[in-house]
Amino acid sequence: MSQLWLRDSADGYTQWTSGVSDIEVHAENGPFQVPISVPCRLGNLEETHFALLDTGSARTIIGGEFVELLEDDFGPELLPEMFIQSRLGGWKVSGPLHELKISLPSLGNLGVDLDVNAQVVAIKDFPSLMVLGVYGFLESIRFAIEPSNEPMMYFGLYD
Amino acid sequence: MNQLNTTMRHRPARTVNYLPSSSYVETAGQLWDFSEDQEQGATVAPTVWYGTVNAGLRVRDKTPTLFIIDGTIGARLSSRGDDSATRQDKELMGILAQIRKLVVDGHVAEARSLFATLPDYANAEPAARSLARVLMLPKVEKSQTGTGHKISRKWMRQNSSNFKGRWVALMDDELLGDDKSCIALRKRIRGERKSLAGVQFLFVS
Repeated sequence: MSQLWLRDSADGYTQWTSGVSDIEVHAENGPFQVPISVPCRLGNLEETHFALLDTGSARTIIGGEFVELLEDDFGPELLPEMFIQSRLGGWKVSGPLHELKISLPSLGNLGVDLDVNAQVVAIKDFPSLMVLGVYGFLESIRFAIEPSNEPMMYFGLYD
Repeated sequence: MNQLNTTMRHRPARTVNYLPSSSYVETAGQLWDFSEDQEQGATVAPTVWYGTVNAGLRVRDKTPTLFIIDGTIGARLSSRGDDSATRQDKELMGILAQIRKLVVDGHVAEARSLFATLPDYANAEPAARSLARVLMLPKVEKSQTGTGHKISRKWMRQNSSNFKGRWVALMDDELLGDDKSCIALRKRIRGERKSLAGVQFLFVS
Protein backbone atom coordinates (compact mmCIF):
# COMPACT_ATOMS: atom_id res chain seq x y z
CA MET A 1 0.00 0.00 0.00
CA SER A 2 1.60 3.26 -1.16
CA GLN A 3 0.65 6.07 1.22
CA LEU A 4 2.07 9.17 2.82
CA TRP A 5 3.11 9.03 6.47
CA LEU A 6 3.66 11.94 8.82
CA ARG A 7 6.66 11.87 11.09
CA ASP A 8 5.10 13.33 14.22
CA SER A 9 7.72 12.46 16.80
CA ALA A 10 11.38 11.49 16.88
CA ASP A 11 10.64 7.85 16.27
CA GLY A 12 6.96 7.74 15.40
CA TYR A 13 4.94 7.97 12.19
CA THR A 14 1.22 8.38 11.58
CA GLN A 15 -0.43 7.43 8.32
CA TRP A 16 -1.47 10.71 6.68
CA THR A 17 -3.39 9.47 3.64
CA SER A 18 -5.50 6.44 2.82
CA GLY A 19 -6.07 6.60 -0.94
CA VAL A 20 -4.21 7.24 -4.19
CA SER A 21 -5.62 8.11 -7.58
CA ASP A 22 -4.17 8.39 -11.05
CA ILE A 23 -4.61 12.00 -12.23
CA GLU A 24 -3.95 14.16 -15.27
CA VAL A 25 -1.89 17.33 -15.23
CA HIS A 26 -1.89 20.03 -17.90
CA ALA A 27 -5.19 18.77 -19.31
CA GLU A 28 -7.74 20.90 -21.14
CA ASN A 29 -11.50 20.94 -21.39
CA GLY A 30 -12.50 22.83 -24.52
CA PRO A 31 -11.31 26.40 -24.08
CA PHE A 32 -10.52 25.81 -20.42
CA GLN A 33 -7.19 24.81 -19.00
CA VAL A 34 -7.50 22.09 -16.40
CA PRO A 35 -4.06 22.09 -14.76
CA ILE A 36 -4.94 19.26 -12.39
CA SER A 37 -7.73 16.90 -13.39
CA VAL A 38 -8.77 14.26 -10.84
CA PRO A 39 -11.15 11.30 -11.15
CA CYS A 40 -14.29 11.30 -9.05
CA ARG A 41 -17.64 9.59 -8.80
CA LEU A 42 -20.72 11.72 -8.43
CA GLY A 43 -23.89 10.87 -6.53
CA ASN A 44 -25.01 7.35 -7.38
CA LEU A 45 -23.38 7.30 -10.81
CA GLU A 46 -21.16 4.23 -11.19
CA GLU A 47 -18.78 5.65 -13.77
CA THR A 48 -15.81 7.95 -13.30
CA HIS A 49 -15.76 11.58 -14.37
CA PHE A 50 -12.95 14.09 -14.10
CA ALA A 51 -12.92 17.38 -12.22
CA LEU A 52 -10.64 20.37 -12.02
CA LEU A 53 -8.93 20.44 -8.63
CA ASP A 54 -8.91 24.15 -7.85
CA THR A 55 -7.71 25.45 -4.51
CA GLY A 56 -8.42 28.95 -5.84
CA SER A 57 -12.14 28.25 -6.18
CA ALA A 58 -14.24 28.95 -3.11
CA ARG A 59 -16.91 26.45 -4.11
CA THR A 60 -17.36 23.13 -5.86
CA ILE A 61 -19.25 23.70 -9.08
CA ILE A 62 -21.27 21.28 -11.19
CA GLY A 63 -21.89 22.77 -14.60
CA GLY A 64 -23.73 22.24 -17.88
CA GLU A 65 -24.88 18.72 -18.71
CA PHE A 66 -23.81 17.42 -15.32
CA VAL A 67 -26.60 19.38 -13.65
CA GLU A 68 -29.15 17.42 -15.68
CA LEU A 69 -27.27 14.16 -15.23
CA LEU A 70 -27.27 14.52 -11.45
CA GLU A 71 -30.79 15.88 -11.07
CA ASP A 72 -31.92 12.84 -9.05
CA ASP A 73 -28.75 12.67 -6.98
CA PHE A 74 -28.66 16.15 -5.51
CA GLY A 75 -29.46 16.30 -1.82
CA PRO A 76 -31.53 19.01 -0.18
CA GLU A 77 -31.20 22.54 -1.49
CA LEU A 78 -29.21 24.35 1.19
CA LEU A 79 -29.49 27.80 -0.37
CA PRO A 80 -31.59 28.83 -3.36
CA GLU A 81 -28.90 30.98 -4.92
CA MET A 82 -25.13 31.16 -4.52
CA PHE A 83 -22.99 33.56 -6.54
CA ILE A 84 -19.75 32.49 -8.16
CA GLN A 85 -17.57 35.16 -9.68
CA SER A 86 -14.14 35.41 -11.20
CA ARG A 87 -11.44 36.73 -8.95
CA LEU A 88 -11.31 40.09 -10.72
CA GLY A 89 -15.04 40.29 -11.35
CA GLY A 90 -14.95 39.48 -15.08
CA TRP A 91 -17.98 37.22 -14.83
CA LYS A 92 -20.57 36.24 -12.29
CA VAL A 93 -22.95 33.27 -12.32
CA SER A 94 -25.27 31.76 -9.78
CA GLY A 95 -27.12 28.56 -8.91
CA PRO A 96 -28.56 26.70 -5.95
CA LEU A 97 -26.32 25.13 -3.30
CA HIS A 98 -26.97 21.40 -2.89
CA GLU A 99 -25.52 18.49 -1.02
CA LEU A 100 -24.00 15.82 -3.26
CA LYS A 101 -21.97 12.74 -2.45
CA ILE A 102 -18.63 12.91 -4.25
CA SER A 103 -16.22 9.99 -4.01
CA LEU A 104 -12.51 10.03 -4.73
CA PRO A 105 -11.72 6.55 -6.04
CA SER A 106 -8.40 5.03 -5.02
CA LEU A 107 -6.43 2.62 -7.12
CA GLY A 108 -7.51 -0.69 -5.60
CA ASN A 109 -4.07 -2.06 -4.77
CA LEU A 110 -2.91 1.20 -3.20
CA GLY A 111 -5.67 2.36 -0.87
CA VAL A 112 -9.38 2.92 -0.29
CA ASP A 113 -11.94 5.37 -1.69
CA LEU A 114 -12.98 8.48 0.20
CA ASP A 115 -16.65 9.53 0.29
CA VAL A 116 -17.42 13.21 0.89
CA ASN A 117 -20.89 14.57 1.63
CA ALA A 118 -20.02 17.67 -0.37
CA GLN A 119 -21.75 20.97 -1.02
CA VAL A 120 -21.95 21.92 -4.68
CA VAL A 121 -23.28 24.87 -6.65
CA ALA A 122 -25.28 23.62 -9.63
CA ILE A 123 -25.12 26.01 -12.59
CA LYS A 124 -26.76 24.97 -15.85
CA ASP A 125 -25.28 27.92 -17.73
CA PHE A 126 -21.76 26.97 -16.72
CA PRO A 127 -19.65 24.84 -19.11
CA SER A 128 -19.93 21.05 -18.71
CA LEU A 129 -17.09 21.08 -16.27
CA MET A 130 -16.71 20.14 -12.63
CA VAL A 131 -14.63 22.15 -10.23
CA LEU A 132 -13.61 20.81 -6.84
CA GLY A 133 -13.31 23.90 -4.64
CA VAL A 134 -12.49 24.63 -1.05
CA TYR A 135 -15.65 25.25 0.99
CA GLY A 136 -17.82 22.18 1.28
CA PHE A 137 -15.19 19.85 -0.18
CA LEU A 138 -11.41 20.36 -0.18
CA GLU A 139 -11.45 21.95 3.28
CA SER A 140 -12.41 18.62 4.80
CA ILE A 141 -9.81 16.33 3.26
CA ARG A 142 -6.04 16.02 3.14
CA PHE A 143 -4.41 15.77 -0.23
CA ALA A 144 -1.03 15.97 -1.89
CA ILE A 145 -0.06 15.97 -5.57
CA GLU A 146 2.80 13.98 -7.11
CA PRO A 147 3.43 15.77 -10.43
CA SER A 148 5.78 13.26 -12.02
CA ASN A 149 5.42 11.46 -15.35
CA GLU A 150 2.84 9.28 -13.66
CA PRO A 151 1.03 11.95 -11.66
CA MET A 152 -0.85 10.87 -8.57
CA MET A 153 -3.07 12.42 -5.96
CA TYR A 154 -2.78 11.18 -2.38
CA PHE A 155 -5.79 11.83 -0.18
CA GLY A 156 -7.11 11.02 3.25
CA LEU A 157 -9.45 11.80 6.06
CA TYR A 158 -8.82 15.02 7.93
CA ASP A 159 -9.01 14.35 11.69
CA MET B 1 -43.32 34.11 26.42
CA ASN B 2 -46.57 35.24 24.83
CA GLN B 3 -45.34 35.05 21.31
CA LEU B 4 -46.20 33.71 17.89
CA ASN B 5 -43.38 31.90 16.20
CA THR B 6 -44.15 30.41 12.84
CA THR B 7 -42.42 30.10 9.50
CA MET B 8 -44.30 30.45 6.25
CA ARG B 9 -43.62 29.20 2.76
CA HIS B 10 -46.24 30.96 0.64
CA ARG B 11 -49.01 28.50 1.31
CA PRO B 12 -52.63 29.51 1.83
CA ALA B 13 -52.90 27.99 5.30
CA ARG B 14 -50.49 27.83 8.20
CA THR B 15 -50.11 25.68 11.23
CA VAL B 16 -49.17 27.73 14.23
CA ASN B 17 -48.09 26.85 17.72
CA TYR B 18 -49.54 29.74 19.63
CA LEU B 19 -51.25 32.98 18.77
CA PRO B 20 -51.79 36.05 20.85
CA SER B 21 -55.20 37.65 20.53
CA SER B 22 -56.08 40.64 18.31
CA SER B 23 -53.36 40.20 15.75
CA TYR B 24 -53.37 40.52 12.00
CA VAL B 25 -50.71 39.30 9.62
CA GLU B 26 -50.62 40.50 6.06
CA THR B 27 -48.57 38.52 3.58
CA ALA B 28 -48.56 38.10 -0.17
CA GLY B 29 -51.81 40.00 -0.55
CA GLN B 30 -53.61 38.02 2.14
CA LEU B 31 -54.82 39.26 5.47
CA TRP B 32 -54.56 36.78 8.31
CA ASP B 33 -56.95 37.41 11.15
CA PHE B 34 -55.65 36.02 14.39
CA SER B 35 -58.13 38.01 16.45
CA GLU B 36 -59.24 34.91 18.30
CA ASP B 37 -56.90 32.81 20.37
CA GLN B 38 -56.05 29.70 18.43
CA GLU B 39 -55.50 26.22 19.68
CA GLN B 40 -51.96 24.96 19.62
CA GLY B 41 -51.25 23.40 16.23
CA ALA B 42 -54.39 24.92 14.67
CA THR B 43 -54.45 25.55 10.94
CA VAL B 44 -55.37 29.12 10.10
CA ALA B 45 -56.64 30.17 6.71
CA PRO B 46 -56.47 33.74 5.40
CA THR B 47 -59.73 35.58 5.94
CA VAL B 48 -59.36 38.45 3.47
CA TRP B 49 -57.80 38.62 0.04
CA TYR B 50 -57.01 41.96 -1.49
CA GLY B 51 -54.73 43.84 -3.85
CA THR B 52 -51.75 42.49 -5.66
CA VAL B 53 -49.20 40.13 -4.27
CA ASN B 54 -46.62 41.87 -2.16
CA ALA B 55 -43.09 40.68 -1.87
CA GLY B 56 -42.51 40.40 1.80
CA LEU B 57 -44.59 40.34 4.86
CA ARG B 58 -46.07 42.93 7.17
CA VAL B 59 -47.69 42.54 10.52
CA ARG B 60 -50.47 44.79 11.68
CA ASP B 61 -51.70 45.77 15.08
CA LYS B 62 -48.74 44.51 17.12
CA THR B 63 -45.18 45.63 16.89
CA PRO B 64 -43.85 43.16 14.39
CA THR B 65 -40.50 41.72 13.51
CA LEU B 66 -40.20 41.07 9.81
CA PHE B 67 -37.60 39.00 8.09
CA ILE B 68 -37.05 37.02 4.96
CA ILE B 69 -34.29 34.48 5.21
CA ASP B 70 -33.37 31.64 2.92
CA GLY B 71 -36.56 31.89 0.93
CA THR B 72 -38.60 31.45 4.06
CA ILE B 73 -40.89 34.17 5.30
CA GLY B 74 -41.10 34.22 9.02
CA ALA B 75 -43.26 36.31 11.31
CA ARG B 76 -43.11 36.91 15.00
CA LEU B 77 -45.81 38.69 16.88
CA SER B 78 -45.22 39.84 20.39
CA SER B 79 -47.97 40.90 22.70
CA ARG B 80 -47.91 44.41 24.08
CA GLY B 81 -45.26 44.93 26.71
CA ASP B 82 -42.97 42.25 25.32
CA ASP B 83 -40.64 44.63 23.55
CA SER B 84 -37.46 43.06 24.88
CA ALA B 85 -38.28 39.78 23.17
CA THR B 86 -39.02 41.64 19.94
CA ARG B 87 -35.73 43.48 20.10
CA GLN B 88 -33.90 40.22 20.75
CA ASP B 89 -35.61 38.60 17.78
CA LYS B 90 -34.84 41.57 15.57
CA GLU B 91 -31.19 41.40 16.50
CA LEU B 92 -31.01 37.66 15.90
CA MET B 93 -32.71 37.91 12.53
CA GLY B 94 -30.41 40.74 11.56
CA ILE B 95 -27.33 38.67 12.38
CA LEU B 96 -28.70 35.64 10.55
CA ALA B 97 -29.38 37.75 7.46
CA GLN B 98 -25.84 39.08 7.67
CA ILE B 99 -24.40 35.56 7.96
CA ARG B 100 -26.45 34.38 5.02
CA LYS B 101 -25.23 37.27 2.87
CA LEU B 102 -21.62 36.46 3.79
CA VAL B 103 -22.17 32.84 2.70
CA VAL B 104 -23.86 33.79 -0.56
CA ASP B 105 -21.06 36.24 -1.36
CA GLY B 106 -18.41 33.61 -0.66
CA HIS B 107 -17.08 34.85 2.69
CA VAL B 108 -17.52 31.54 4.46
CA ALA B 109 -14.78 31.97 7.08
CA GLU B 110 -16.29 35.27 8.22
CA ALA B 111 -19.76 33.71 8.25
CA ARG B 112 -18.52 30.87 10.45
CA SER B 113 -16.88 33.30 12.88
CA LEU B 114 -20.05 35.34 13.17
CA PHE B 115 -22.21 32.24 13.53
CA ALA B 116 -20.06 31.09 16.45
CA THR B 117 -21.06 34.23 18.35
CA LEU B 118 -24.81 33.47 18.24
CA PRO B 119 -26.51 33.02 21.61
CA ASP B 120 -27.83 29.61 22.65
CA TYR B 121 -31.47 30.55 22.04
CA ALA B 122 -30.67 30.86 18.32
CA ASN B 123 -30.71 27.05 18.13
CA ALA B 124 -34.48 27.16 18.33
CA GLU B 125 -34.66 29.24 15.16
CA PRO B 126 -35.14 27.19 11.94
CA ALA B 127 -33.22 29.76 9.91
CA ALA B 128 -30.23 29.36 12.25
CA ARG B 129 -30.35 25.57 12.00
CA SER B 130 -30.52 25.83 8.22
CA LEU B 131 -27.44 28.07 8.18
CA ALA B 132 -25.61 25.72 10.55
CA ARG B 133 -25.98 22.97 7.98
CA VAL B 134 -24.53 25.21 5.27
CA LEU B 135 -21.59 26.22 7.44
CA MET B 136 -20.61 22.86 8.87
CA LEU B 137 -17.67 20.92 7.46
CA PRO B 138 -18.73 18.11 5.13
CA LYS B 139 -18.86 14.61 6.53
CA VAL B 140 -16.11 12.42 5.11
CA GLU B 141 -15.83 8.63 5.33
CA LYS B 142 -13.28 6.11 4.24
CA SER B 143 -14.66 3.35 2.08
CA GLN B 144 -13.71 -0.29 2.61
CA THR B 145 -12.26 -0.76 -0.85
CA GLY B 146 -10.41 0.99 -3.62
CA THR B 147 -12.38 1.06 -6.87
CA GLY B 148 -10.29 3.40 -9.03
CA HIS B 149 -8.69 2.58 -12.36
CA LYS B 150 -5.63 3.88 -14.18
CA ILE B 151 -6.33 6.58 -16.74
CA SER B 152 -6.35 5.25 -20.31
CA ARG B 153 -3.27 7.27 -21.26
CA LYS B 154 -2.10 4.98 -24.03
CA TRP B 155 -5.40 5.35 -25.91
CA MET B 156 -5.41 9.10 -25.29
CA ARG B 157 -1.87 9.48 -26.60
CA GLN B 158 -2.53 7.51 -29.77
CA ASN B 159 -6.10 8.52 -30.61
CA SER B 160 -7.23 11.70 -28.92
CA SER B 161 -6.47 13.91 -31.96
CA ASN B 162 -9.28 12.14 -33.85
CA PHE B 163 -11.88 12.93 -31.19
CA LYS B 164 -11.33 16.62 -30.51
CA GLY B 165 -14.38 18.35 -29.06
CA ARG B 166 -16.09 15.07 -28.20
CA TRP B 167 -16.74 13.03 -25.12
CA VAL B 168 -15.21 9.56 -25.06
CA ALA B 169 -15.97 6.60 -22.80
CA LEU B 170 -12.87 4.56 -22.05
CA MET B 171 -12.04 1.48 -20.05
CA ASP B 172 -8.54 0.03 -19.74
CA ASP B 173 -7.32 1.76 -22.92
CA GLU B 174 -10.32 0.58 -24.91
CA LEU B 175 -12.77 3.02 -26.53
CA LEU B 176 -16.37 2.16 -25.69
CA GLY B 177 -17.93 5.07 -27.58
CA ASP B 178 -17.89 8.79 -28.29
CA ASP B 179 -20.44 11.59 -28.68
CA LYS B 180 -20.65 15.36 -28.56
CA SER B 181 -22.96 15.02 -25.54
CA CYS B 182 -21.87 13.35 -22.33
CA ILE B 183 -25.45 12.45 -21.42
CA ALA B 184 -26.16 10.88 -24.82
CA LEU B 185 -22.92 8.90 -24.67
CA ARG B 186 -23.66 7.66 -21.18
CA LYS B 187 -27.14 6.58 -22.17
CA ARG B 188 -25.80 4.63 -25.13
CA ILE B 189 -23.02 2.92 -23.20
CA ARG B 190 -25.41 2.07 -20.40
CA GLY B 191 -27.67 0.33 -22.89
CA GLU B 192 -24.78 -1.83 -24.01
CA ARG B 193 -23.32 -2.81 -20.64
CA LYS B 194 -24.63 -4.20 -17.39
CA SER B 195 -22.60 -1.74 -15.36
CA LEU B 196 -20.72 1.50 -15.90
CA ALA B 197 -18.31 0.77 -13.03
CA GLY B 198 -14.76 1.42 -14.18
CA VAL B 199 -15.81 3.36 -17.27
CA GLN B 200 -14.13 6.77 -17.56
CA PHE B 201 -15.85 9.66 -19.32
CA LEU B 202 -13.45 12.27 -20.68
CA PHE B 203 -13.82 15.36 -22.84
CA VAL B 204 -11.14 15.48 -25.55
CA SER B 205 -9.78 18.93 -26.31
